Amino acid sequence: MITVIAKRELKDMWRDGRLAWSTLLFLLLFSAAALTGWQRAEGIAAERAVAQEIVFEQWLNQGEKNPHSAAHYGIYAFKPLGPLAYFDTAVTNYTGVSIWLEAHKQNRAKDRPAADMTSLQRFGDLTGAFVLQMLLPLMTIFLAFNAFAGERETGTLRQLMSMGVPTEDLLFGKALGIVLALGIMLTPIIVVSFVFLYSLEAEGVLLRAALMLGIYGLYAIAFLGISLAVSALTRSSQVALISLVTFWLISAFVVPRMGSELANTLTPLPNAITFADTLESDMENGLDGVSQSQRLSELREKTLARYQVDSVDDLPLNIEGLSFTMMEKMGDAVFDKHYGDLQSRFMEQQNTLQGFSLLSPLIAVQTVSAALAGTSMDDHQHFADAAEQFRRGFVQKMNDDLTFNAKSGETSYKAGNDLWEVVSAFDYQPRSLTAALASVVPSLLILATWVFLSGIAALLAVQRISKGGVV
Amino acid sequence: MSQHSLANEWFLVRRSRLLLGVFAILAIIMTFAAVNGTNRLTAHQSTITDANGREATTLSAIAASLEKFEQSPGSDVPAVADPGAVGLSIAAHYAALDFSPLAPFAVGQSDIYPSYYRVTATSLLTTLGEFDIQNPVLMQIGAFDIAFVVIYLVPIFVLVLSYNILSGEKERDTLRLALAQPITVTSWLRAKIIWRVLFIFSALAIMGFAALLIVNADFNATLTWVQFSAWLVVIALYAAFWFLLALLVNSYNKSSATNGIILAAAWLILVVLLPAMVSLTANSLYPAPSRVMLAAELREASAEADAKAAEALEDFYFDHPEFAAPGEASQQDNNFFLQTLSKDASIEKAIAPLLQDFEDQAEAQQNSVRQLQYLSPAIMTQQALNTISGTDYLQFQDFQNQVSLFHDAWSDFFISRIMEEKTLTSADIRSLPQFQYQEMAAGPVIRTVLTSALGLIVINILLAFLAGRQLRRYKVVG
Repeated sequence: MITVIAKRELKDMWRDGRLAWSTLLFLLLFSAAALTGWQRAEGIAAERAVAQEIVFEQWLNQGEKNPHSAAHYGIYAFKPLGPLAYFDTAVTNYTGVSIWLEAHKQNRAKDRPAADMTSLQRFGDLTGAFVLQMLLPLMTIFLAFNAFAGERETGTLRQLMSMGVPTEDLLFGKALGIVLALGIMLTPIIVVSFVFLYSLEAEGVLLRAALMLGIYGLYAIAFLGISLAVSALTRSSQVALISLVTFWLISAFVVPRMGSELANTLTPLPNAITFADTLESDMENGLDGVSQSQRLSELREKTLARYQVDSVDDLPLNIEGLSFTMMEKMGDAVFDKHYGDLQSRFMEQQNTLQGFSLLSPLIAVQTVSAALAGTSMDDHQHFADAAEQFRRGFVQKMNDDLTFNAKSGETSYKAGNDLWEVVSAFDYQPRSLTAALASVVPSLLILATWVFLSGIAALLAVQRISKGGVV
Repeated sequence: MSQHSLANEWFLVRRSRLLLGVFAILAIIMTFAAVNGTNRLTAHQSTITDANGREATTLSAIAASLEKFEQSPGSDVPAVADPGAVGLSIAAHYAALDFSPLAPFAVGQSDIYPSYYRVTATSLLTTLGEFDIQNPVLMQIGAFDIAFVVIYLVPIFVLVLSYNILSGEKERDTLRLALAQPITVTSWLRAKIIWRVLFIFSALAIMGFAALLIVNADFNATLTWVQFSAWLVVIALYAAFWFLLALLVNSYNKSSATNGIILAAAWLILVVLLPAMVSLTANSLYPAPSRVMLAAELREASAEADAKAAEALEDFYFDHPEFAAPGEASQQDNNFFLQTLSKDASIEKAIAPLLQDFEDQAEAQQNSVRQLQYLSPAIMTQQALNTISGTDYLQFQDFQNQVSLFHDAWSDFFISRIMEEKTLTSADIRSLPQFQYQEMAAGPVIRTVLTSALGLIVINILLAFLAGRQLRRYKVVG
């Protein structure tokens, strides 16, 4: 019975041209987005890889100098672009792509691509993900709005009921028909995308893409459930369509921006001036109230005592190097505190936003999709953390060399290539899939809830029909 | 002739719960958007107050220790008497943009481009490279500002009121009744439209005015009224576009359902898809050069400057002939700050052509948007609203230029003292250059708003013409 209904539903959609038009529009937009996106992303990814090599070459060929000067010279970390970044750019345009790693300082990522784009960027990034996130629900609504309301208008719903067709069968048949239609619509895109991704031979990409497909599938099913429920409850298909499109509009445009504003208002961020000043004063005065100069003189006394000498000139090591190491340690604690605080404010804002995914499944889908594409805020943070760890590592190496190979006060001490080569190139490993999934569990649960509740809503709505409700 | 139908329509309009609902919802979201704009402005103002406070504290501390030294000249020269130390690492002046009265109406590019800079005597590149802290996730989603309400939601409200302006009557069979009276389709229609247009326009004007009150705009400033009038004209044109589109679609004599679908699709294409496509086109045709490569080039230039430090210093003297002839200031050559400054100058010189590439591409992108904006009224409206609010690219570009000029004055103040080997006095600190924000020249602003507004006017005339022609053939029956 279910398959019979599904087949008829499919035939109807095909006959009135809805399916053909939707498929065509979808295909055109998706291909335009994917092709231009990929072409640009490829260039950017290659450029960043080359730049990363260049800056490392520069590091190696910086010539002989004091190791601490080398630490000041520093290295750049450039954020690599994963193979799925072009499909879902997420926050890519609003996060910096380069971090300067230098002695004494944890710098913020700079060079946000959006600053080099026009204001039209704010209408959204036309990517594959954008097309799916905006249009997939709309297509689903378009295919499903008259599933019941249409039958009711033509009087065939009454006929079906009198024939004793179980309402559940009717629901599942219609749902199956629409799922098949969506399948027909998406198959060309899916096949081409997967063949393309396969040809990239990038590790783990296919699995991520498959999971993404699943997520967008759930997203469509949530909208399918809602559409069928509304179609079963409304008297005319016109009312059904208007209600559904309104819901889509609110969930896609109004709710996310509301969440964004409230998140900003509820958790204000420090401004850049205060942030920088606090960092500086905490570095000077110490987090525990023991100032840097006090610590430095303590260090001096302690070192002199340990080596039982009266003057730093008699020390077997370089006291400046030791001091730099101590200053780095103080700095690290200050950076951990304030960048940690900033990070937790970001998280708090994102949690507020997440709360709004109870009103808009789009927010949940965007979160999961970005995590799978490796373009989420968490991925950016992961990159920034890795860069910071790298910074601390190589600065330590420089300071250690100064400490143990130079005498105190030996300002002419220089290191060369041998030392620069001790630092290995910054080779960033993106977040693992497991870590990515673990970070979006709440969004996954909310998405599952949407699917579950919309299914229940559809079931309850059709049961009303069989109980002689609105026929 | 149409007085009777006008009165009749007004009666219907007044009683319509739909209109009441539209008004209520629009009022709520406009208020929310206005409050958001106020919050943003308050945050900006408190940042600036905060910055000015910090600056005053630092400067008065410097002046105090200089004064102390000046009163007892025998004592040690304080570290803050060194113009190099003060100019390059201690003192900073905060140059801030004065937002225009209507800025809270449109976030525009104000979250991307800095609205204040910390100016020091270090390189301009460092000064302009700073930007404020923002959450990228929220930036990507976008703001709920009045511009968003106007561009995305006002068309929806207009369409709700007009998608079935003819087809609805026809389906309820009231059209035939109405036209049995001695009136023509056009005059009867005029009555229908006039009330709806008046309603939505006055609703928007009232809410716009309420928003002005909420954002606490300065009503004594002429600029407030100029900007607000321009704002009203643009949103009226934009709302009129959607009315006329609805009218044109209705004139083809299709069912209300079909009209609804066609208009919804038009909204989707014009407001959501086309702007994103135009943006993609502009970015693909004129992609910005790589910032990452620029960073690498900068290091190359800095290594070069290090290697040729002596040459850089000589060049620096050459560029500042007012202070010393090349090769003459030998004992000054060891000044750390002078070396830093001369290296920075040679780096800036080396990468100037690269920065020019960035500017050229940005210019080309802006130009292509200017040309392609006619594809969608939403783009024209966005461009016009951002420009009216002073939160567009032009405004921030102008601000950046002002800051660049000020940076020259500020760093020259210190450089001249470093080169002349002078120490700073407390009087120097009190006579430091002050940044005065200059209102941007009106010419480019007016031109930008006019180009977009004229585009809307032309499209509206075209739609009105087409709808008028079609309506003359309108068949009430069948």
